[in-house]
Amino acid sequence: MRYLVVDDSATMRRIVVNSLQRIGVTDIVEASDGVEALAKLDGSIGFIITDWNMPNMGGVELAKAVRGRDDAKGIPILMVTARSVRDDILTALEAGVNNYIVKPFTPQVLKEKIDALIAAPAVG
Amino acid sequence: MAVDRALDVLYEGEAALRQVDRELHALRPAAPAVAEPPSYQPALIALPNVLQRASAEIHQLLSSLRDSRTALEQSTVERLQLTQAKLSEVSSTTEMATAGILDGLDRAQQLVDRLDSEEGKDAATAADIRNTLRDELFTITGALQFQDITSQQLKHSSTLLLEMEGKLADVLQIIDPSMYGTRSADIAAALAGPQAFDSRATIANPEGRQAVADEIFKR
Repeated sequence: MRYLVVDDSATMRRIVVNSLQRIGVTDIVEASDGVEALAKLDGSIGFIITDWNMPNMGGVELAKAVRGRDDAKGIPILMVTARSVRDDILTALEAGVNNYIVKPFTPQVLKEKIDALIAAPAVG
Repeated sequence: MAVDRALDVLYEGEAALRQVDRELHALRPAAPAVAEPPSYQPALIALPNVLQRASAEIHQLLSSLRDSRTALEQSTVERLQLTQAKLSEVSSTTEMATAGILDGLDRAQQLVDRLDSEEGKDAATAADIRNTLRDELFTITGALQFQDITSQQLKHSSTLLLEMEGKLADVLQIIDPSMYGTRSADIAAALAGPQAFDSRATIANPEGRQAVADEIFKR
């Protein structure tokens, strides 16, 4: 399964990719915003890890767009963001995000969330 | 007799007054044939209206400046305090993260030293040390997430400063529209784009904030 990591911060993409590699994930595609992510969203992508605040298209808009696409609406979406206000988290949930990690995170938390989403029934 | 004397005095008085009047009349300059009004006369006539309008405009300008000053004071003081708080948080976040990274490097260094001392002795112990070393190095990588947080805090501070510049440009525009007329529009355009940062981004209490997210997504 291919993972799509979306974040406008190159440092954060590197940290997330590093964390994924640490838990055995090697097939990874990167995008710097929602627009680029949608362009890279083909049938091979099985998991999306996205930031919230990004230029051009943010993570919430990306989640809504993914849920609106028949060929992608079942892909699990994990949001990794600095936003941690309750209303923001509810907004992400309503947009179709399946789970949520608050920055700064530990690789342990990332693994737990990915494992839980992969084990869960398909969304969408 | 007394009445006659009084009448004489009255007549003499009247004659004297007539003489004075004649003399005064002779002293007057001859009037010009056609009286030409001076050229500045219409401007003088309009002067009170001009002054009244100028006064009204100055009053309005002062009123605008007073309003702007009040708004400026309120917004800039608030924003300056917020900017100061954000920059202070960036400073402490950087310091905390740097301390964490240095601690991790110290531990990693000790593990390398232990590996050296264990060389050729116990393979299992050496393997344990290597695994611990990998964990430490990975923790250091994770600690670098502070860069993303401080980057967002700095972007927020930058936006606050830009907003203050816009307020100042608004006030200066009242005084000199030709010089500052487009400045506030430029700043407004710069602020109009989507914010690619979280104004509340923080490195503090990640466990507590993660617990809030977990509670919501558990439903």
